[in-house]
Formats: sequence, structure tokens, C-alpha cells
Amino acid sequence: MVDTLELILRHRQRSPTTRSGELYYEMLVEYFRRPLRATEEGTPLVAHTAYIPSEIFYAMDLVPLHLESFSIISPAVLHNFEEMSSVAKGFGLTPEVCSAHRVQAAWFVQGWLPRPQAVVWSQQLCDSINHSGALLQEAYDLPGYFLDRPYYIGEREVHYYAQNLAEMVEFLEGTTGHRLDQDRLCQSLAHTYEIAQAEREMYALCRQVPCPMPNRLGDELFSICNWLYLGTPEGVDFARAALEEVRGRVGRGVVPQENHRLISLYPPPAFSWKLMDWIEREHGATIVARPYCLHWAPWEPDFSHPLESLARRCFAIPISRHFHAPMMEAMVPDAVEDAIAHHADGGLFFAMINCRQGCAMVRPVKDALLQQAGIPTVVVDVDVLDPSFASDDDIKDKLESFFEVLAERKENVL
Amino acid sequence: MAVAGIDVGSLTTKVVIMDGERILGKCLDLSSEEVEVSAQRALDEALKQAGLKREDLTAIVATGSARKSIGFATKQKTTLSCLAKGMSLLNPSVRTLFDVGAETSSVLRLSQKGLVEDSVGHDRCASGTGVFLQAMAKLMMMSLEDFAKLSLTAQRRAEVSTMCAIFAEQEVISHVHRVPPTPKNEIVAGIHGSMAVRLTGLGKRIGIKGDAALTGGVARNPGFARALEEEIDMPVIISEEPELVAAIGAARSGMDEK
Repeated sequence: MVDTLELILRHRQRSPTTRSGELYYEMLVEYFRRPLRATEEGTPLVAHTAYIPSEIFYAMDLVPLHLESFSIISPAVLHNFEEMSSVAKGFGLTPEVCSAHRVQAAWFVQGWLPRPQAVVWSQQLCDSINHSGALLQEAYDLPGYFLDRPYYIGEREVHYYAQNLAEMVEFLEGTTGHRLDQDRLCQSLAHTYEIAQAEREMYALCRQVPCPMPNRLGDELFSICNWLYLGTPEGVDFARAALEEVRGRVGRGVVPQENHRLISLYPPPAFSWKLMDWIEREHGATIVARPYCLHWAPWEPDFSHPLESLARRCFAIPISRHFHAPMMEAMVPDAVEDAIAHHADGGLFFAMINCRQGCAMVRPVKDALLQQAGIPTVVVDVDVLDPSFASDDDIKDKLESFFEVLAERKENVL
Repeated sequence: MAVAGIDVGSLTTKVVIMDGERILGKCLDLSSEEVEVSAQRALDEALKQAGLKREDLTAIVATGSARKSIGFATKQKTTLSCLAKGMSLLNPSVRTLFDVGAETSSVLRLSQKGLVEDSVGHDRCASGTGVFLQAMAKLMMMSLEDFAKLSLTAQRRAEVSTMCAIFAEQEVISHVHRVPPTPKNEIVAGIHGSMAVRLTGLGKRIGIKGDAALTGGVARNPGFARALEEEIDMPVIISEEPELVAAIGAARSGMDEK
């Protein structure tokens, strides 16, 4: 997988587009190389599921392995979803289970993953994530810690979560022998804050007509800054590069003519991020809002109480607060607010067919956008990794149909 | 000032030639593997009826699943907007449109101006489409016409799965082999009912409001139309030629943009 990513990187370097585009592949290569190096060098490698705060790993000098990123990126790069799916099926996991977690299971049961020293996991963002962490612990016979993140958002929950973070640190210290460096934790929180501020500024700039952020950059920010490199200097570098590019496009936008301004409500299928380029290039459709990716709740670091501050950060970060919280408190109001503030004229919801968390949001979000923001939403049924469920052509057909509806709405105000 | 609308479906190709709101010629023919050839044939037939030549047409608008294969069309429009345009011309009061074709079904919510407000489609499995009814009629060893009418005589519906065409087939076989066997008309009513439940469920995802209409080839099936009316608890409007609505909408959009 790393070799294939390097090939893509070399191709990008030969035909450079943007600094962030190049950095994106450089950072992916580096991220997935580190676990291999860690194993060779004997540095503690810790596997973790989505939204286990990466600031802890940075402050303890541990090499993290983000399991969901790995399982989403690997089939998209290696084009081996069918093979992975077949292994998972042999293990008893049917297509009703999230594809990303079936791929993880396949890697675990085959023993293909570099052996981590420990695994920490949580129930964010869904039950499958919870089960995958437990499965890795069992398959590799690893010491593990389950980080319980409360579903509701409030002071009591923040304190409870901060206590659990402290316990998780204790567990990691005991298992790896590495101590948590408080100064480094504060430094990491400062990095996270800089990333959050850059994302907030970029998101605010997306309100402008035309939108200055390319469609693909939003998804790259999500992967690099919110998932893999949060709280790190590398993450800050990427956010700065992206911010610079977005600022540079203010006033001229990313397409010659911006025909449709869309609010995206779920990440696009991993097997075809090119779709986002296609809607931009062929239809002048720009993603001007993506609450799950860039809508941070208010948060700034408090260096006198770093763990508590980290707990607050965990409740403020996009997607975690949108998917692991009551949807009427975060996802629905944020979507409506962003659709209005960013002048969106249509909603785009990729309904991952085996994501119960995401699919449960379709109707409330769609209704709220129509009733409160006055815009229609297209719901495109897809599988996050399996192109045989809905191919590029199927998806393009549905999107073209929606763009036609949007164009007619503009011509004849409803 | 005549225009042609061509709706290339998976099973049939429909063509209408219109001038204003008048239909001058029309044709419904089976689609072939060579989509463009069958569309050409249907267009020629419709032109003949209208007493016109290709050069008399100011626009040829293609719609339907294979619209992109029609190289001689001057424009392509998606099925949803053509259905909406066609229906607003034929029955402007309609706000909910159920369209059931051979291999897909869709529900559209229309605005007062006849534009698509919201829509939801179903194209991932056979149940809920015309080919499902065709397969069931074959299984019951009946013509599609007899099958369509038989359920009207039933007082109750036999239980048939609403989830899967394959399981529905097994259920139908078990009804036939029961002792005593379930009456045929109740089995057919059950089949129509299962499809109506599925389509109604689809419609509820976007909300069923105002006058409702049924289009597509399956609208020719009175048993299914009744089952749908029972499920949504209101009458459904069926135009004289329900399978031509998208082609009419395509022609209409050609006129709008002249």
C-alpha cells in the first residue's frame, strides 16, 4: 500500500498541481510508513480507532495507527475490496456490516497488520468501530483500553471523559513504558488550535461567491488535519498550505462559472474522490459547506488544565460532535446554519448503505434543509468502498439529474 | 414548429411529436440492443403519423436511462425533469407522482409550477418494478393483461413478502401448493399489494402530498393501481397514455427552450 501511495506521490510531483495536493500524498506515505519503521525500530506502535485524541500519542511519543483511515484508504489504493470482502465473509461478516470494518476484520484475521503494542478504541462514531477495536485486541491478543465517550454534550460529560482520558494515559504508560509529557501535550493542543483556526477561516471564506475552496481540498483536510495529523506540526503545515491556497482564490473561485453551490452532508465514496473533481469541472458545482468536516464548535485550549481542555476539544471537533451526539443538537442545526450562511442551493448526501449512523440522519437533515433553508437534497445510495454497489456512472447519472432540477429551480423560482 | 420527445427506457422506446400542446404523432416500440436504431425507427413511425419529416422538427430531446446513446438528439434531459414537465402539462394539480417503469420506480414531489421539489428512486432490485410483475405473471402462468385484472376480484390479499422478488416467488409457490390452495386472485392481489407497500414506503421518505398520479407502463395495470390507492388512501390519476408522460415532458422542454 505504501509503495502504491509513493507511486501516486511521484506522479503528483512530476505534474504538480497545488502544494497541498502534493503534501497530501507525502503525508499519507509518511503516515503509513511510520508503523513499519516503528516495528523495525522497536518504537511503541499503538493502534486506535477514529477520534481517540491523537494529541495523547504525540505527547507520549508513540506511533499511532488510525484503523479507519487505514481500512478506507487501503482498498481505494490497492483496488482489492473484493478480496478483502471475501476474507471478511469467510469470517462471518456479511455486506450489512460497514465495508470499512469488514476490510479491517480481513486484515486482522489474516494477521496482515503490523503488530501494535496496544490498542485503544472507543464507540465513536458507531458500533462497528467499537467492535473492530475489540476484534483487533482479540485477534492479536493485545492489551487494550476502551475509551468511553459520552453521547450527550455537557459539563458532567466533559469531566467524565477527562477522567477516562487520564485512565487511558495510565494504561498506555503502563503498557508502553512511555510517559505523558505535559509540556508536549500543551504544545500539541496549541497545534490543534492552529489547525482549528485555519479550518474556521477557510470555512468562513467558503461563504463567498464564488467559493474559493476546491471540492477535493475539503476532503483532504478532513483526512490529514482532522484524522491523521491533528495536534502535530505536520498537520499545522498542511492547514497553513491549504489556507494560503484558499485565500489566494478569494474573488476568482475554483471554476470559471459556479453553477451550483452544494452542502455536502457525508464524505464521498473513497473509491472515487475524482467524482468531486468531476462535479466541479463538468457542472460548475462546488461544495461550499461540509459541516461534518469543518464546522467546529467553540473551543480554545486551556493550558492550565490540558486533559480537560483536550476533552472539550473532543466534543467540539466536527463529525465526532455530529455523528456521536443527538442529531438535533449538532448535525441538523449546523447543516441548516451552514446551508444558509454559505448560500448553498442544494444538499448532497452520500448515503453509505451499511452506515446506520449516517443513514439515520438522511430524513431529518433533508427535511430540515428543505423546510428551514429552502433547498432540496439529493440522496445518493453508495457503498463507501464497493464500486459494484453503485458505480461512478450510476452516481453521475443521479447527480446530473439533481443538477438539472437545481437549474430549473433557478430558472423558475419555486 | 414541431418538436420530438424520445424516452428511451430499458424495455420500450417512446416517441411523441408535439406542436404546442397538441400531440401530432406518437410511437411506442420495444427497445433493442442497438438503442439508437430502435429510437430512429420509433421516431420515423411517429413522424409518419404526424405527416412530417425530420427536417420539420426544431428540436429532438432525448430522455430515459439510455438517453445519452441517442446521437441524433439535439438535447438530453433527465427523466425526473421530463416526468415533471409532462405531468404538469397533462394534470397540473398533481403534487405526488409515482412512476413505475420496467426496471426502476421513482416517486416525485412536484411544486405548483410543476418542478421537482424532491424525489426518491428505486433501482437496486427487481421488486417494485414492472419486470417483477412480469415474472410473477409468468409464474402464475397468466398473461400480463389477465394478471393485471384478476386482483380486482379479490376480497383480501394473500401474504406476500414486500422485500425481495426472489422470496416473493417462493411465497407465491407456497400459496399455490397449499391445501387448499390460496385463491389465485388473492395471490395476485397480494403481489400487487406487496409492490404498492414498497412504493408507498418510498413515497413516505419524501412525503405524499396533494393529488397523486401514476405513470409508466405499470400504470396500465388496474390491479396495482387499486392496491396503490388503498395504500396511500387516495385516488391516483392515470393519464390516457401513462407511459408517454416522460416523452411528452421531453418534447415540452424542447419547446420551452426554442
